[in-house]
Amino acid sequence: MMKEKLKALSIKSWLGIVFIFLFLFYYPFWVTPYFLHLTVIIIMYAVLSSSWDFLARTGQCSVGQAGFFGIGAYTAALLYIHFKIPPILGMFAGGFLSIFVSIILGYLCLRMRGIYFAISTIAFAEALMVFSLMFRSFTGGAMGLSVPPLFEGNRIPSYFLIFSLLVCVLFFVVWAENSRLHFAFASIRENEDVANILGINPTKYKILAFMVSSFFTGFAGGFYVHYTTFIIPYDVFGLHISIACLIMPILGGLYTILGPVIGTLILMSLTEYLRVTITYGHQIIYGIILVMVVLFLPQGIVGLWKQSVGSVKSLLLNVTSHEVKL
Amino acid sequence: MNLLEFKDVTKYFGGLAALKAVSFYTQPEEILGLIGPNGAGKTTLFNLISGVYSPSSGEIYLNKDSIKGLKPYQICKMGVGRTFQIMQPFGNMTILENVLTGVLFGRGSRLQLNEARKKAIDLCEFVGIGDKVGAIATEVTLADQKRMEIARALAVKPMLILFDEVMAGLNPTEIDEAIDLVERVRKMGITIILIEHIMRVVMNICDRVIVLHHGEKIAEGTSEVISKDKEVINAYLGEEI
Amino acid sequence: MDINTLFQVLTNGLLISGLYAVLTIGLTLVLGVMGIVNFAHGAFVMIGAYTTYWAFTLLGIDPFISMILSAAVLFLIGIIAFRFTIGPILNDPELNQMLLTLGILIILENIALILWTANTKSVITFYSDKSISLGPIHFGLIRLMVFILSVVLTTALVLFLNKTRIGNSIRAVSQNRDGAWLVGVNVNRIYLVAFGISAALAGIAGTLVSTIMYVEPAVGFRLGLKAFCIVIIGGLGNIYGTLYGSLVLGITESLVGSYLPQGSGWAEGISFMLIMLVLIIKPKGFGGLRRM
Repeated sequence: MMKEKLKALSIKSWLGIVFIFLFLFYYPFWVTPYFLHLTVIIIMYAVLSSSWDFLARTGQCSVGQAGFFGIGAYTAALLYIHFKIPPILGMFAGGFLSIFVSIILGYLCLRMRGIYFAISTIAFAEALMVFSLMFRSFTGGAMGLSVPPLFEGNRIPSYFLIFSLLVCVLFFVVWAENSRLHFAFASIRENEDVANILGINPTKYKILAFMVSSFFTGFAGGFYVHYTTFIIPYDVFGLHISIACLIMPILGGLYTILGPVIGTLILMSLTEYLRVTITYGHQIIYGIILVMVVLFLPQGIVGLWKQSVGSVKSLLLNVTSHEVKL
Repeated sequence: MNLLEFKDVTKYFGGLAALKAVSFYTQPEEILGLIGPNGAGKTTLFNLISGVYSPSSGEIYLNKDSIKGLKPYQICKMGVGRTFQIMQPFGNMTILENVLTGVLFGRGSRLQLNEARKKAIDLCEFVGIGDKVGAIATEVTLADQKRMEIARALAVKPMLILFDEVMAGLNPTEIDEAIDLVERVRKMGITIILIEHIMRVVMNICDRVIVLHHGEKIAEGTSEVISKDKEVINAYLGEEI
Repeated sequence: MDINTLFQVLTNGLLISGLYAVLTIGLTLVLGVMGIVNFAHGAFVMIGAYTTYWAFTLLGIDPFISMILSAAVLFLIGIIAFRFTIGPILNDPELNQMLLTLGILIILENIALILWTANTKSVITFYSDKSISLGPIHFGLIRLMVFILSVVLTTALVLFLNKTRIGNSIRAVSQNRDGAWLVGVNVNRIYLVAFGISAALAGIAGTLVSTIMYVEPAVGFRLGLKAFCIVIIGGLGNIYGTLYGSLVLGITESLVGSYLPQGSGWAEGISFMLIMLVLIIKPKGFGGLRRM
């Protein structure tokens, strides 16, 4: 199905793709260091938000992604500090440890419905924050951990690294969307019991989604610590990260491919703008968006998005659509 | 060979016995009716077959294999499909996507998405909603939703299919169409168990009928026989008459 | 590990569980009456704490008197919040309700951050460090007063729910909304009032909190989570379960705080671990949704 879609793209579409690639490739060389840094952070959050969305497709609304983010960060940092493990390997390690933890957590939380699952994940991340504060000699406690800067402080390779990660996530999502996985996830989300009766093993798919989403989140955590060189527990386990993970896809369009990315762009830009204008309390935008979306746009911006689609956006649509067309 | 066999199956919910020592078996490619007053345990019996519940005691065999304790998806893959008394379409999907889900994960499913899609379309046409495959599942008429549920149950390639009040809420014309559809399903070689309240349907198409009352099987036989059975009449009309 | 220390630790746990009961009871009320899991509950507590702080600092009002002010302020805030944001989504899916109330929590917490910064504040009265002794057991005066007040408040609430007309209406709505409507209860107004009362109770809890703990914007989320823990242990919407859960949390925290090395740090994590433990064992919490 994928191959057919690729073949169906016209010359214009291919030109568009090439243009976008060139733009993205030369971007870091053109922009100022501040914007490059901002871009790197935004791309990292796009990884987080796509991962959250992937998990949410099975109906599991996690408010504790920060838990895996922190696991990844601390794993990578500690591996470097104690064993001089190179950063990228450390990021992989962070991802794999996150997978391991997610399997355990996933099984334990399987029977919890919607809101209890959410509360559990909040408790999970908060508990991890307490652990990292208390095991002071191991994790540095409230004093945090320091590592040398990634790529000796050169942000351009960092940009390419995190960008590649995002591309990986998106490829994963696209592949899943065009396979049976899409139907397994969607039917579990709609009605887990009926899906079960139709031959779908909910446990298998829910854990699978958890594993994938936590891997990328953990990897991103490892990236974060090496990129910013210093973390304290709150920075990586804090609720604000978990909340951001869920606002971005809701804002941009749940269960779509580019929705989470677009939501990230909007939310992060707004947040950054507020951060430079008011020093405290810029996260108020998270709360405002949550309230506004639930009250006025329960379908998310996806409703507006679908309406405003024109021929210019049809290229993106080809990549985002997962509908089974006759 | 008997496809489905219940041996002394009892199911307790807390202290209440929803089914008590029920035994029966299906005959190949028959349409077996399951009737009884409300609360008799009919849907519980269906839930036991499809694995939503596990029997408190007794055995259930599908093709001589015990299915006691198996999960619903495992039983589905052994060849059991069902519809639901209160309809359960996947509301945010189209009719085609609903049926396609069944095709992709049912018994022996190894189909690629393309072939699966074709199979799903065929099924939709078989039940009579071939022209509505792109509609959102909750936005079609009641009769069409029921057809979709049947198509979705057929999609898992069942040897045994459970119809839970598929005729409820249909007008007489639609009921006749439904009867015709059930017959066509039987002709596919599938054994059917049918829960129904509409007696003329039961008398019409069922080869045999089982009657449940307060969780116990009180009668079993052809529709003729059970329509004259004293206990059955009492159960439906009460003891006074 | 002598018996006197044990009794002291248990006493401390008991005293704090009174506060926890007041903290949680508003949440229980809302859960029981309208089935909403109010994540913003902790934020109401935080505002109550700040109200008392400013009343104390600017006007010299004793915290135990400004309790009434907190209750009034939060009642108003609760009614406004309900009227404009929560009422409209009463029939929405649970997750939507969670997101909205989370959003309100974030908004309130950040408003507090903007107005008053993250610097912690304390309410220190002339009697803050006094204590009473009963044999070998010491009762911190403030903690004792908080406990007594908690008992009084909880009893008052139970009486209110059982003996007054509004209270009975609230109970009726929580048990059978349509039935209550049929006999003439203005269900929407009851929802409004119940939510207001719940916020007021949170405000009072905030006042009490300000006398014992540092006040900062983040205290809202932390205490809110403790309230959730208690509700999950005790059963949703069940007042007696709330008392039970408060005792469990209060005493466990006290035991951990005193007997584990660096216990006070670990005690903070107890509520999270209890939440996960209870939900893993019983995914629907103990007791289920039992009406008051």
